Amino acid sequence: MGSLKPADEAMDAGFLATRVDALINWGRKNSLWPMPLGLSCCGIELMAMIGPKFDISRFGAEAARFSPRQADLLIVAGTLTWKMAHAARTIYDQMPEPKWVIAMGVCSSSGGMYDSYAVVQGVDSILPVDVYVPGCPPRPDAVIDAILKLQKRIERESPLKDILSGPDEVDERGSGQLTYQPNRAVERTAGDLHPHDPRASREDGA
Amino acid sequence: MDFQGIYDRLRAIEAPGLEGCDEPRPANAETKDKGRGGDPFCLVTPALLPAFLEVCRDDPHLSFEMAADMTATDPGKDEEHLWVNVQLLSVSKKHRLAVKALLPKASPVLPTTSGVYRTNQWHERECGEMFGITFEGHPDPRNILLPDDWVGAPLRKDYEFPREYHGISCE
Repeated sequence: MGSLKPADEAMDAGFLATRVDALINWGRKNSLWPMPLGLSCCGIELMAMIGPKFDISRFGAEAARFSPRQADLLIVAGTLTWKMAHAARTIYDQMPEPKWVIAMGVCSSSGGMYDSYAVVQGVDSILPVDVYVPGCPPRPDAVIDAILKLQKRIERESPLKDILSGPDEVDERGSGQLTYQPNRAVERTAGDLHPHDPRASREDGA
Repeated sequence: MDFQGIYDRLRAIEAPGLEGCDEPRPANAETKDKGRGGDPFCLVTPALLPAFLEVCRDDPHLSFEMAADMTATDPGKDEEHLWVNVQLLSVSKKHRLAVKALLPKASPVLPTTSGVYRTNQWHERECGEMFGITFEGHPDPRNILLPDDWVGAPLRKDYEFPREYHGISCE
């Protein structure tokens, strides 16, 4: 806790002298509330990480919330399919700022071995990822390491600047691009790409 | 009953749509025939598949109570037909039967068999989205695995990966 130094002469008076940035970052980094998005086998390792054996509570991130509104760290653990992509983005959008994302395992980092029509080739195409964790699945210690790296990163942020002047740059990666509405037809012209599909040609009016 | 017995019985009761059967054969080096492995199967006219299955279910000597599986196969890009495969199982008689219907790729339309075996509702939904087969008269033809707005039949051999999905690159 290098930046949080008590002023020696003030110790007896019962207060600390520090920067607001350091204080906010200290609070944020030591109480990450993860939202576990367990999509496949990585979810099992994630449970082990939260459990007593690996014990993520040593680093203050044990309060796993299954409501995105009470979480600030989204851990995408597993294979994200295109069908699930819309739900994952909605969960991210529901999380209050500030928020961070960990892509756990190769599937969520790059699609992994699933070079398939059904799988999102890396969740960074729909979410801004802060830390990638390799492994299939990664060991719980690897994810703990990712959380420690994220804590180091949070330490370097300048929350006060953001509060006073607003964020200087907006992360546009993927934001608002998922226009999928359940139970509503989406316009598209893919009849040329899939000429054999009767559903495609019907939509083109053929 | 073994396959020959089942086939003879189907012949005897004149099961609708039965075109013939195909049994595995060894490879022949002289005629460059690669042979065929797998189970023997009955070949059925696609339009009469529900009537055929109904006979299989109701005949007292066959009594296939269960449709264990229904799926489709795309044998290759150059082939003109899709295979629709149905696996029937008789729990009481302890025998099985593989049924196959050749469906032209140009117009993959099949009457629904869910009126005979209700299990086939889900199997047909999966066949429909994965191979682009339309099942006429299906009570609930929504996609079962793919998103509702998916375009293309992914398990066809001539399927091309989508380049983007809702404006997001898939590559």
